[in-house]
Amino acid sequence: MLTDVLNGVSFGGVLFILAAGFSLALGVGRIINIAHGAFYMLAVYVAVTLEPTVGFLGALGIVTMMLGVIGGGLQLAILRRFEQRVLPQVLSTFGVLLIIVELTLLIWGGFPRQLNPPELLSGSIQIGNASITSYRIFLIGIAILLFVALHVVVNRTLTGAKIRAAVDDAEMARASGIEVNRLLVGVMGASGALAGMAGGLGGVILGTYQNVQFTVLTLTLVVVVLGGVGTLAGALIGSMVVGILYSVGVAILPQYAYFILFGPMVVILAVRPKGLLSGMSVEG
Amino acid sequence: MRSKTQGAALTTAAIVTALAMAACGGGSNAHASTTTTSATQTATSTLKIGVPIALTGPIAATAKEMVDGYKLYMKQHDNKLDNVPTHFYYVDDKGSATTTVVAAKQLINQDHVDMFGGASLAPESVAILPIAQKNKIAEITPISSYDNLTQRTTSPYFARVNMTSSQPNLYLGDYAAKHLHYKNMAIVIQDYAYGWQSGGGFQYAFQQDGGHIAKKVYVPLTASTLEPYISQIPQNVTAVYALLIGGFVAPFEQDYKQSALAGKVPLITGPDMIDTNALAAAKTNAIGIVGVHEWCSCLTSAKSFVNAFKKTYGVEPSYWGESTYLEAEWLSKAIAHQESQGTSASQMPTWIKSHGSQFINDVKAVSIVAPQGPMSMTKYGNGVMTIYIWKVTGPEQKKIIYTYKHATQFWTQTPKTFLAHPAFSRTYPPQS
Repeated sequence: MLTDVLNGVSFGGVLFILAAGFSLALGVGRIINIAHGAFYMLAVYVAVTLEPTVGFLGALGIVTMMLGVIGGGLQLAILRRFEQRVLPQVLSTFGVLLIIVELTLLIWGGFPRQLNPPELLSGSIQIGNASITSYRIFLIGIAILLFVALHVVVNRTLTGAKIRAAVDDAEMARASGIEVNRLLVGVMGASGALAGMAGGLGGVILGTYQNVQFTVLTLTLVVVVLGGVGTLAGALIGSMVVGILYSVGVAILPQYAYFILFGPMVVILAVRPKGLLSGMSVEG
Repeated sequence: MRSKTQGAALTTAAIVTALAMAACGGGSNAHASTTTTSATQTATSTLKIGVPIALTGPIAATAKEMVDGYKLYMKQHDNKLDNVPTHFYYVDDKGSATTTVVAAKQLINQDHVDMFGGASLAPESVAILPIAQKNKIAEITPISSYDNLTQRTTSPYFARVNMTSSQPNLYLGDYAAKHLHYKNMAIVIQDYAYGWQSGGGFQYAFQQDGGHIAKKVYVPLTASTLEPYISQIPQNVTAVYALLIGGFVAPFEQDYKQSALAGKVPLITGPDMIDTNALAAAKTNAIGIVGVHEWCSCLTSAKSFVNAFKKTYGVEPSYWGESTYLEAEWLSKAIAHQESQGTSASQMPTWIKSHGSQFINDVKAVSIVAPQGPMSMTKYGNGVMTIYIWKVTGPEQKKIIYTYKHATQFWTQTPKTFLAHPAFSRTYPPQS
């Protein structure tokens, strides 16, 4: 059981890293990016290709920047036309997803690929009767640091205040001299960068393959919706709840893996329709 | 503070997203999206072969390689099978049984094909068969391995130029008991028909040879992470047999290597986990694994095919690409066999279309030296071949450690004995 709980916490860490970018775009920028899973997929393929040459950290840095540019470019080229219009955002980013998937098929042949953890983190640590890999502990730490960093930026900086103002009332923000369009490009750039980072880090655990774009998007939506749309703290708590429930639940009822993933979401939403942390500040 | 309108909009977005994902991933689009052809000849003596195949979706990459296998053979043989000009019609069936039925009907009604090839997955070949039978035309699949198609529910219109799901794993179970001397094992398999039949074959032979299965772990196709399944494996077993597919292989091998079982409990695997692409993804995590497979691009008999494939497409072929190249070669020999019976090349397409079951007999009469080695076929319409036991010795490298010649779907038993037990399933063989 301890092993399952530890695995659950580490899986929760992976989920938060996957969901952070999506949560940032949706919660802060009110932007729905269906291509988020495809960003992850592209990041892993690129990281796997680059890692033998530039190493794990080099590959991580490059894919983070690359997807940041793609995310910002997506906002600049397409999404700025659909400010706070849900359906066009969904449809256009779904189109971007299809383009990315076909590109990966053309370039990499679509076969599964896996990143290896860096040598320093390839061992495991014994905790009582349970063991957990060093890399998964590293991911838990990254998830916590990421949450703190995003929370500080969004809630404690002038840039964060401007972003929140721009999203709440774009006209008033523009009238006050805030460059709304530029801010949203920054938000989507950050969201893309986080998706890239998720690929560079999560690609060691989940790998990449054809259809991973939907697996990642599904996991992200479960976490974000369960935790509370629009709250980073909700995404973190949602990640841990889903991660632990899944790992422990699958150990007991392995054939009901998908139900264990979605069941808690349904139950929690039935009781708290806005998610676990509804009613708190928008950015957590 | 978020307005009610914005909250409703976000809820709508979630619903739209779910619907969009279902539409894309569920394969419920009733219309085949792509029809392409491999030759420009339109003479009336052209043989038309319909190939429903999953050109989009999770196995798009392997389906593309299968198409490449067909195309390479045709390119090398002037777009002919034996002396007969041939036209392949590729239709995207998205890997779903529903869409495959639509694709197969399109091939019959619109393209007027003379026979069916293709089908990479069991649902595809099972979906095509009733349509082939109704129209009395032959269905010959290069790789779809559903056991019962050539065991308990055979059809005079069906043949498979390859093996059943359980076939290689029966021999691996035999090897594990007799040569590795494993006594008490755990099994980890993908939780669907291919996994059940593969694991069932392994377990059946292993138990017949005196082995014991302590635990069976089923990994759903929807599993998001694999440690919960690895943690279910008892630590006191002698070894673990695993059969996972696609994107599960590399994460499983990595997680296994980092688990408490690593270095203590050896891992032996079915074909999918030591195939070309699996080893490319797993890199050093697969080193030490013993597995069963009928194919390797390193086989001497495969050299000419592998060189041609690499020259044409720039990549090494896996058994997916070899399967269709082999099928094209097999069909050529079957056509040559029928020609020796008196049917001319110009009459062949019409003859094949109107004599589906007789053409299957021609297919069954073929013996061939394929890139994977010598092959023939039993009266049940399934391949007899050489099966190799491999050991992974380095990144993307493996070597043969044992060979089973003339391996059949019934292992060492007579058909009557083998077919007396139920089909391998989630519940058979039962855990001992």
